[in-house]
Amino acid sequence: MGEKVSRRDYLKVLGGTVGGLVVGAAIGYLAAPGKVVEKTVERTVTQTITATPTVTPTTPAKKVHLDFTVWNYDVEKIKDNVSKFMKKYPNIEVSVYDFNWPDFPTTMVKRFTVGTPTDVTYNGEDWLAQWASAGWVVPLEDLWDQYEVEHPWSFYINDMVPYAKMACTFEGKVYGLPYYSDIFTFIYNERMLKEKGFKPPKDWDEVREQCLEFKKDGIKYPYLLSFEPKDVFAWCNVLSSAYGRGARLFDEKLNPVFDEPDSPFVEQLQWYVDGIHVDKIVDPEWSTMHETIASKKMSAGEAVFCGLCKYNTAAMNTPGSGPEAGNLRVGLMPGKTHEAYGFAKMYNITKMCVNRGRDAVQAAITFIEYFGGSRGPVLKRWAVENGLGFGFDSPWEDPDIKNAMEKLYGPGSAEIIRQQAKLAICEPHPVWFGEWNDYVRKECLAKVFTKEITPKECVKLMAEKWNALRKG
Amino acid sequence: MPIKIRALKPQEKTALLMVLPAFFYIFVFTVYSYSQAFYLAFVKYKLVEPQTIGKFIGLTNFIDVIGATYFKDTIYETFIFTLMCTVIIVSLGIGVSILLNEKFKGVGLVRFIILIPWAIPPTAAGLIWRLMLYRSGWINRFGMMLGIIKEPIEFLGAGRIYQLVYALIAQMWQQLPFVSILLMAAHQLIPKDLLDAARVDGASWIKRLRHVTFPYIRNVIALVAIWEAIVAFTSYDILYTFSGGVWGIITYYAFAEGFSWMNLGHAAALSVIIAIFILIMISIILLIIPPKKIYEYSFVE
Amino acid sequence: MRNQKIINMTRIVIIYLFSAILVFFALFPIITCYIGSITPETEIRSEPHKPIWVKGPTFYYYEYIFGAPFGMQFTTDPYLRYEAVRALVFTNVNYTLQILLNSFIVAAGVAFLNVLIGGITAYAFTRLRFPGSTGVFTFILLSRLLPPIIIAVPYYAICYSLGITNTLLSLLLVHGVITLPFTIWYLTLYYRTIPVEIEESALVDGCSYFQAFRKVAFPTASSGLMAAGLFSFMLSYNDLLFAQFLEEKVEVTTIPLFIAFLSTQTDLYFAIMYAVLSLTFIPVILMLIVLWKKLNITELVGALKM
Repeated sequence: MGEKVSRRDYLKVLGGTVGGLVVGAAIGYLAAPGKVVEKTVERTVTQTITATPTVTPTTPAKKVHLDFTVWNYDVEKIKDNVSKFMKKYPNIEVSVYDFNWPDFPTTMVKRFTVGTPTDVTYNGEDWLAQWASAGWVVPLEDLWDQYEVEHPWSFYINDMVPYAKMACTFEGKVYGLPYYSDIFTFIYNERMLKEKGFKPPKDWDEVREQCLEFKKDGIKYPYLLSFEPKDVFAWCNVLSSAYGRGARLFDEKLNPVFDEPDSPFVEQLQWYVDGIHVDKIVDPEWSTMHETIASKKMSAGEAVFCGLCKYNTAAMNTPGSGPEAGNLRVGLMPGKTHEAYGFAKMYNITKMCVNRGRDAVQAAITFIEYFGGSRGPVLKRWAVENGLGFGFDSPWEDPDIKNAMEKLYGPGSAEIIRQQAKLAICEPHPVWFGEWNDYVRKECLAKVFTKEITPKECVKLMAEKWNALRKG
Repeated sequence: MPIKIRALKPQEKTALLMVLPAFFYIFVFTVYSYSQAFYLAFVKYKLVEPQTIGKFIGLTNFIDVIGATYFKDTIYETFIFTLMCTVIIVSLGIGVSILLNEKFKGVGLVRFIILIPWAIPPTAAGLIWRLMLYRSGWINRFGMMLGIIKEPIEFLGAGRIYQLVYALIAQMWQQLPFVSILLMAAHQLIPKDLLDAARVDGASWIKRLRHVTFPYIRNVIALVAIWEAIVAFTSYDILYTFSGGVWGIITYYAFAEGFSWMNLGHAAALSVIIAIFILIMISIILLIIPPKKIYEYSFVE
Repeated sequence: MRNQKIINMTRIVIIYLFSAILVFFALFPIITCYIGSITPETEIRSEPHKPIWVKGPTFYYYEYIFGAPFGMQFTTDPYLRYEAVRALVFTNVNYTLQILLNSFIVAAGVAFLNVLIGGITAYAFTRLRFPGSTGVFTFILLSRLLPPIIIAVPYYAICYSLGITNTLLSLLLVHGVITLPFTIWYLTLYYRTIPVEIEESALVDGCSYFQAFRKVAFPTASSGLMAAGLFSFMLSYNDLLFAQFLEEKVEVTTIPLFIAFLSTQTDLYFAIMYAVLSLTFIPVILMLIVLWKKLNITELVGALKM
């Protein structure tokens, strides 16, 4: 066959490789490209503009340009809102940049690292800690009252629903105004329940019993679990259902509590696993089920219960979406405590904007008040036209909004939704939450529902990853 | 050995000028990139902690990556995938190449058609197969239309190992044509007189295969097998779209570490680990085909 | 004699049967894309036992893809959620044509680069002797051995510190590095199959070495050069890894990156995915036809004779 490669040759190659690694690392270190971000970023959370605020007109004297980054939910409406804003404030020019939703956090991190001009951005509770601790966004709380605004900061703070406030807070400071706040709720088909003489289920055992009854009637899979691992929101409805039992993820010291023996979280996971594999009341298409598909199935009457974000009910009830349109209702989350998972999406001001000076910040604050304020036109528009939730309590007093909500969510729904909003929680998301969330979705929960691992093993993995990330 | 320094002949001058651009281009890229990869593997480089970028932390990245919760399972899955791919693709490839070697009407067309899956981007192949496996996808539709299955099968709700098998089918769909064509061409390079002599001597088809054909294409089969193993080991795009960006084999995590979790230090460490595995695989080639032969074959005029 | 005939018949039947299975296996997934792209979305998503062309095929999705750059809006389709129209459903599909063009530009650039630089360099290795040729050749080949992922991460770091992320140029440069070693190696062997006499006579007639190359060897090797060019075109066209690391803005996306993006979307129309895929295949299949018709595969593989 030819001469064999001798052992000495192998040792030579091995030595060469290790040597190459060391030399390579040295060359790399010496030749490393200049760091893009200054190493000495002195970020103090309590950074305030020290100049005494002079009263500047709300419309800045000269033209100010703002760069606004969003994710691509209803971009047409966003752009329409922006053009209306620009008509009202002709000296503020806004450019909208939209990115696709699954990649939004990574795109924004790269954007901030490179330093692409961004002034106002969408943000979510799961990335706030990350961006705030990196110094990319600044607390609105510190800036608000130093500029011309329609309502002072206290007005908005006292109006915020508790979970929305929690979602917008990092290290005790509120960073943004929650223009859109919602809850992962329990949705059911009222007509079908009334037909069988059922009341909305109070706990998960009752859900199971009712499902089994519906199965006898010929509905193949009465409960829809939408857990498509691709989707960042995927496990929020699972978490929300666990909150209904009174589960918590961690305590005040950020120690995981979900992996304690007999934790409600494990119980809820077990409920789903049994529902998929034992009772067969949960639709086995869960791994490709996204809220759009689930909504369609609910409107078509193919299922009776599901756990989805609240706004989906509005879509399901829209006339024309299916034979059951108008029959879907939001119910209180079954379980001992009826709590649910609430979140908030907010507008943030970036450090880059602050660095640009007073005019830029004034324009940005005017923008945020128009778009995110509880009395602003944009919040009302999202509520009335899209049925989106909001993070304040006062909009419910507005008859337009109340009527629009009742039209979309059903008569009498305002009461239930308001009650659920008061019972919703949003645990603080630490800096590493985004990464942990990614891992939990793809590696832990996806495997639990296929029965590759048991719920106990799953929470063990989750806790391991949590502790590993916490250390640093 | 003393290096003789002398004036360059005009031939050599031309040659150097012709070679220099390519050499320089490749040299700068590879040396610089590899050195950067090694550098990144030994420092802390988390984009969300810009204050600590560039801090030297020794082997911590490697330890983090190897100790990561996904690592063990991924290595296991990667090896299974690589092994299954190589074995199945090469054995089927040998069979198909025998078929393609026959002279029958339309053989040219067959050879062309089966190359189409190989030519399309692996990214597209992954997506096509994922779309075929949905409950409302084509496999279920076709199966129900033909009456083979009564209930739609939930392919995508199954465990990770099943998903790997489906991904393997996609990979095979793409790689089989390439392998078969290569082996077929190797078939055709066997000296005709040997085969004719064997036929005249009355050897059956199978005997001819074993004693005449096989020794000649043995080396090609070995090379192809290693090539397929490396392709399977580093396969990234096809699994990315097949899983919808959710999982993959080890190369996926190198990407995920870098860009989903914004930790370039970990990503570089994982890349180095992958490179080491590849080097080990290549040394296995060198056991089978001695390096001297590769040199000869490349340089002898 | 009759036995022989029966054996021959069965042999032919088996050959045709297996060929048919092979062809079916190869073509079925591709054809599903074309069928799916002209099926209305509600039917694609319906239960598998339901028919897919209840009201016949529709070309609406292709109309949108071709019409979107000129301002056409995506409106009437029963699958769209009434009122709460989600932009997620067809994001960035209006850039499809531009993306196809991007991919094509980069791949063509890479092919050109390979043919030019590879053609020149390989000739030097084959015909001309110079000190260090062995070392340089080995280096060029070895550079291809390690997986591209190890270049990807640092190359990204370099690109954003130079500010050239989100350009097609950065992609072209790195694709060139990946494809060049193979091109050079292949062409080295290919040049060897060209008889050296014509060049020698050109040299005798007074041409310089480079002119001999330019006027004689380069044109003669056109077949092999074209093969190398087409292979590098395909390699660049199909690449996802580097495109994913380097490109973020949708205007500089390439096709594999776009397909990867489509696959991570949760709300996207299947029909649109199929339509995009169908358009992706067309350049590839055309290239394959050219490759197949103009070149003799056995001759090319023969150049790799072991």
